[in-house]
Amino acid sequence: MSNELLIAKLRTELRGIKPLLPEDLASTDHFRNDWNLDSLELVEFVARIEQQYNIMIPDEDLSVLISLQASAVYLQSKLAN
Amino acid sequence: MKPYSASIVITGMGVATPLGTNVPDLWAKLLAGQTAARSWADLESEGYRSTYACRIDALEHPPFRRGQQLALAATATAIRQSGISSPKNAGIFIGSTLGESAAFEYAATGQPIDLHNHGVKSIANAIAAQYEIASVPTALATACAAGNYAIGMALRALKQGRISMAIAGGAEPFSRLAMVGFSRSRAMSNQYCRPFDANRSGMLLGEGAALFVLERAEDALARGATPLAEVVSLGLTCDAYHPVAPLPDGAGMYRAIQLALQTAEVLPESIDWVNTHGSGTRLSDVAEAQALNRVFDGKVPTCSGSKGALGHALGAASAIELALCVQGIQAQTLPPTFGHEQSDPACNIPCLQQPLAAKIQYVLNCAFAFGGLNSALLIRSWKP
Repeated sequence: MSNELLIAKLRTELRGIKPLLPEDLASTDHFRNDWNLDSLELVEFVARIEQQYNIMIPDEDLSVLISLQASAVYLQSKLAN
Repeated sequence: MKPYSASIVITGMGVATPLGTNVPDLWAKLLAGQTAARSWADLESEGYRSTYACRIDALEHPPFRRGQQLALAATATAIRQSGISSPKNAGIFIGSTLGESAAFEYAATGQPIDLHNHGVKSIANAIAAQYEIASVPTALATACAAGNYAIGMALRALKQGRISMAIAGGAEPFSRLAMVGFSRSRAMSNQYCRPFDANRSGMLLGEGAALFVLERAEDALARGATPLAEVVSLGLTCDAYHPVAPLPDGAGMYRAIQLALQTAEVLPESIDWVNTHGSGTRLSDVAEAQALNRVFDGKVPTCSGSKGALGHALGAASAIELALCVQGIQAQTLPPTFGHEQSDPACNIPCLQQPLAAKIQYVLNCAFAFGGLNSALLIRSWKP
């Protein structure tokens, strides 16, 4: 899957959790600092990624998932393994 | 009915827990520093993120009636200990988070099942049916504070003279729904639960039940019963802040404890022991410690917590912990806190690591739930 497509899918997931986020949410925007996502919204986002891509994301990796771009890079590496 | 009696007492109690299905067994194992926490093969094979939990082994029960079975077993023990001849006139007050969770899990697979008879009230109804109690039972689905709520509602009904005796407590069967939910919200430890410890990483799920017989003191004494402890007051507040996170400074918890003390006109310095909520999560333990330090002006009485030993039995937890408080009063001993080894400086409370013999009169039983539901139940040793 291309990075652009993956980011688009992740953006859709994130907007499913927080519909007020813009459709053109930038891939490098910081989830917490730029869009004020709280911890509950972020764990829901991670849970949806886990379910959709059938992977397990350990607690220690959560700090990496700070933006759509960072999440896509992380996810690509997990899917490649 | 006799309205507004001064004293409401516990005359019988029964438990069903992963460390023992009677109070003496449970108490002995708790004092010995045991835990029921272990990894479970079925959870491993089903792919759960965390496979540690505290469960009751080899419990036989009809399909989708595990909670009912736990509650009935605990109720039978409580009634037997109380010595009452018939509980037919009792009011029933039961706290639980979901009731028969397995029924809801079954429904989630698309299987046909009538869920109306599997909620929290189904457990209360089972007690009513078992003892031919005609009054309408009260079911309290107030999450992890539900046990305290149930005891508090019984306290109020007895004080107001609406009932002559009460069967009250909490029951919670093991819940895969809760396993998924807590795991998904990253609130669950992947091994032991360590209340107020620097290395705590979350809660562990438990299960169980604790039921009590409550009466007005004069009624209990008139029939020759021996009160085990007096239930004094309940403080309740709601954070109205976040679905799962507590107010970071513990302000809601503080107000609940204050309410319990003020209602009873008891000064903070009178408290001998705090049975903490102590879920072992990063946020809740810090908030609770802050609340306690504020209530006690930095001089927090000796604290203990049971969730490292028993897991978190959700709606039954505070009822089970009430049984421990009552037993502690009876034994004049405070139990240790399994899992608490290295105190977290951010949780500056005196959390017991070993049993402690002490003079115990007043005990606070704290329970704080998702949804910002805060409760503090005040009990004291019975003095005629």
